Amino acid sequence: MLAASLHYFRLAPQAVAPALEALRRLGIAAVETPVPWSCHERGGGFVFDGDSAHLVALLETAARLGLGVHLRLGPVVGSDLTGLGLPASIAADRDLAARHPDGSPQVVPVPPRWLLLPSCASHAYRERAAAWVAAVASAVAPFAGPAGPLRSLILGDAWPFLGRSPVGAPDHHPDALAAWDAYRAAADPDVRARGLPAALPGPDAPRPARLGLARFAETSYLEHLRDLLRAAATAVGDTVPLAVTLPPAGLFQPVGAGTLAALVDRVGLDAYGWHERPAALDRDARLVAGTAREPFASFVPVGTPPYLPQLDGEDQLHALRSCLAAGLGELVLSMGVARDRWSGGLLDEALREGEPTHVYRRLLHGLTRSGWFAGRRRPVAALVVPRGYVRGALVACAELVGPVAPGFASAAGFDPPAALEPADEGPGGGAWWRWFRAAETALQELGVPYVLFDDEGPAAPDPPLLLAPTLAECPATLAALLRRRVARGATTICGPTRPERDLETGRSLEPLDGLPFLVAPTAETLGSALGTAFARPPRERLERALFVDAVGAPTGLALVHRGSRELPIGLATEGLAPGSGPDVDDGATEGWRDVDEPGLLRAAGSISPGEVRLLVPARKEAP
Amino acid sequence: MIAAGLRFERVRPAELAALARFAAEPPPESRIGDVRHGLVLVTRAGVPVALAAVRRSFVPLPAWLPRDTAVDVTALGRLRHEHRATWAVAGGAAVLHRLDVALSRAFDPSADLLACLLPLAHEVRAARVAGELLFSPALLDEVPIPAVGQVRSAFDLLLPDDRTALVYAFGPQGLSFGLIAEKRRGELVRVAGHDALGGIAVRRAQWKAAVPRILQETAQRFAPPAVGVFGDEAALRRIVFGTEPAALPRALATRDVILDPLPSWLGVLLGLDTAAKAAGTARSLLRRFGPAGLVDRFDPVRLTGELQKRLGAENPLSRALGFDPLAVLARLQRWQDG
Repeated sequence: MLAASLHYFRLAPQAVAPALEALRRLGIAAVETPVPWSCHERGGGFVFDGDSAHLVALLETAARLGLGVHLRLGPVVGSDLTGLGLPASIAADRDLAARHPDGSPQVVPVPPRWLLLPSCASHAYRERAAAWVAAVASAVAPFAGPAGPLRSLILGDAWPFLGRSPVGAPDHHPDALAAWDAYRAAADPDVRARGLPAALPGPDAPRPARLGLARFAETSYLEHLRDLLRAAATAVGDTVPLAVTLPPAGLFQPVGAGTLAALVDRVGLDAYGWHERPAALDRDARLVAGTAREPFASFVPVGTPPYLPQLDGEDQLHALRSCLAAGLGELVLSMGVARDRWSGGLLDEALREGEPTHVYRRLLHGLTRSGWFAGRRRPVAALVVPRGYVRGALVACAELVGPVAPGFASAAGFDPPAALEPADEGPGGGAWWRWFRAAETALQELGVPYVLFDDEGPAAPDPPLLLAPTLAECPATLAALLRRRVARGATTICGPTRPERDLETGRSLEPLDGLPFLVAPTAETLGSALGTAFARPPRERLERALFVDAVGAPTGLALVHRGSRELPIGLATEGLAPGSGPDVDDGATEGWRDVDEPGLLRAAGSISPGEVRLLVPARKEAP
Repeated sequence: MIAAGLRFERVRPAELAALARFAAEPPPESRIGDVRHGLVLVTRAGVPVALAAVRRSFVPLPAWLPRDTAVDVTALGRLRHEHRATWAVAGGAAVLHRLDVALSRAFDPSADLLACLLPLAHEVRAARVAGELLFSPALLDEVPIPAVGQVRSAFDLLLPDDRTALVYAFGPQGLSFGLIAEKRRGELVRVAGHDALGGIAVRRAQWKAAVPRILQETAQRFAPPAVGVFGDEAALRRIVFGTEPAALPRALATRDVILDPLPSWLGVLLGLDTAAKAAGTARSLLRRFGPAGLVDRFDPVRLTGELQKRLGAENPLSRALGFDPLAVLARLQRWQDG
């Protein structure tokens, strides 16, 4: 999937075909577009064909041109739309809105018109949202199947809870109160006793109750999402893959990547970040790549909305390269064609190429021709992001900043747990984060390719080394994973505290005999665990991630330079000949070349601090 | 005032970046400072918990800052100076909850962004008065908060219906940014970039020659211009950031800034501004030579009011807003004085 965004509802119907043709000429294989509920609702029903709602015409034109289409159905699609794509009848309906304890509605202050946060627990809202998804999925179902243009349906909100913290400002909608009672009744008695009080907690509840509230809020959203997935699946069957996305909230996602990946195979990342503050985007991409079965980059910025802090051209290319380097296999460039409330794009409104277009054209052609997407990244290490502890950090942050989603701070380069007490070894403290950061830094110093993964995901990666931050109170699923690895002798390290009790129930865990434990991981100790003596290398903090295809032949090499000095490219690729990888020796390749350089011109120059560079084997290409 | 269907079209990234630079990066001699350099002190029950430098990261709390007593404005000011930040704010979950509840009260589905924001501004001030929220410098305390009706009247005066307003800045490379705002039925309905005019070439030194064509195209494609500000970017920055006495009259005289069309309200405003700047110059001279006490009598803001009375020419914008916007600007231009 190499897609670009095209907002059909912002174009005149007759302008769609020329725009699709222009994108195809750039090497784009598919388009991605939101389908805003607000654009298609008419008097209680839905319209998908007509001058102001020409979704069907878009699909017909794409089919004629041989282009794929990915549709974001929301219900909250964002896309800088008024009401974030919700119809006014939803965005201003107090009965459907999440409520404060005093019954007043919760507001999302976005330009140009504020809206009310729809309650995930509201039965009426969920029914209407599912009806919307069912209607649009039914309308596009004829375009599904191997011969049709429909490639995927992306469901769920662009940012769950729309940037509000459900822990700092819990939803007291009457249906949420009833759902809390049911959730509490169904819970394990020990869980109920520890963190589920009889009444739905308010914003000033004690920490254990807030932890229960955090789990409950996620469950509410996931139930809402399940309704939507069910509605879509009923209409299109298994002819179209369903997908969800994560916002650019770093590791402090409002809903866990793992639980989302357990619902659907395809999980996308909306990648928006600054190259000067790369940590959030870098972690986001690795988390999705390590947790989802089919990870992809659902939004890579080309341009920027006028109301947000600007991304320059370097930021945008850095985001693209970071996603690819982390192993996200597919891309959506946003925007393909410039639009209202957006500045920039591959093509302007008149379909003229802009200043950066040639850079993207070369990169896209290079990725396609070189077979980059056929390769899979091979991580040497995986670092667990225990969702239970992330939830603890979200709770602790709600105590500090109330209703503001901590993911915002993370997206801006502020790691929320960095504000927490580093000696606090509770789930809402900073001890686990200190260990996580130490392990991450050690891996980066070693220069080994690594991924992050959410322990609540469907399947854990199985690299040679697994690192897990653990406290005395540890999620039972994580403890079970560690036990399995230890039993089969896989190298596994945890810390800063040995797991003793289940985080949720407080019950004692089966002892984890033989699990290596470190108070603070370092490059030396991790190097030793991997069987390589660590010495300060000439390639200081350079991560070299090899991508290989199904038969083990190298298809690409991603270099991520976190050091402080420029490195000659020869030194950076030393010892990694593409034609003599671990499983292959084809004898036909002649070193590495930059993916966006055509022909056999070998990579040259140097790699700068902070740079991400993508190389592919320099082979003779078929004409 | 701001339409629900506000369109924002054809603003090139380079224009947007130039606009952001213009607004956020004042000249070095400015007394305002880079608004992107801010500090946020997170507190719990008034006690400092964490310190964040905007655009950087969390920074350690200094050793001198007590961890067990509530922070005050003096300490916040010291933090601001130590970090060379332009502004600093301190607050915690309690005040954010207060403002969150205020959002609920302010929400009106039929009201626009500004109409919802103004009541919230009162809540911010109330939180400031209650000591739940601290600002450094405290200048914002003196900025009047007008009523929605007053802002609407002022907006109608600045930009009548079915008309456009233009702001163009030209730098060493030619056009830095050009924005066209269009108003219909009392609301701002569109903001467009220079590209929306169909590609009028602007050469670096000859930008003045392009002004008539820009105005003509705007009238044809959007609506007749009601006010247009075209200027050399450096001159505009001197005016906005108050880095030079009488920068505006000088720029107008040298045609580094062109006002075309020039509405009557702006003419009145500029006449008074010139007088105020002259008073400001006299005040600085007096500071050098004059006896104590005389300096304060030459306060430009006070003199502006006296000149208004004497000339009998009431500033129509002040009448609409209920306060003098130039006086507010003059006060903000002395930001660093705190």
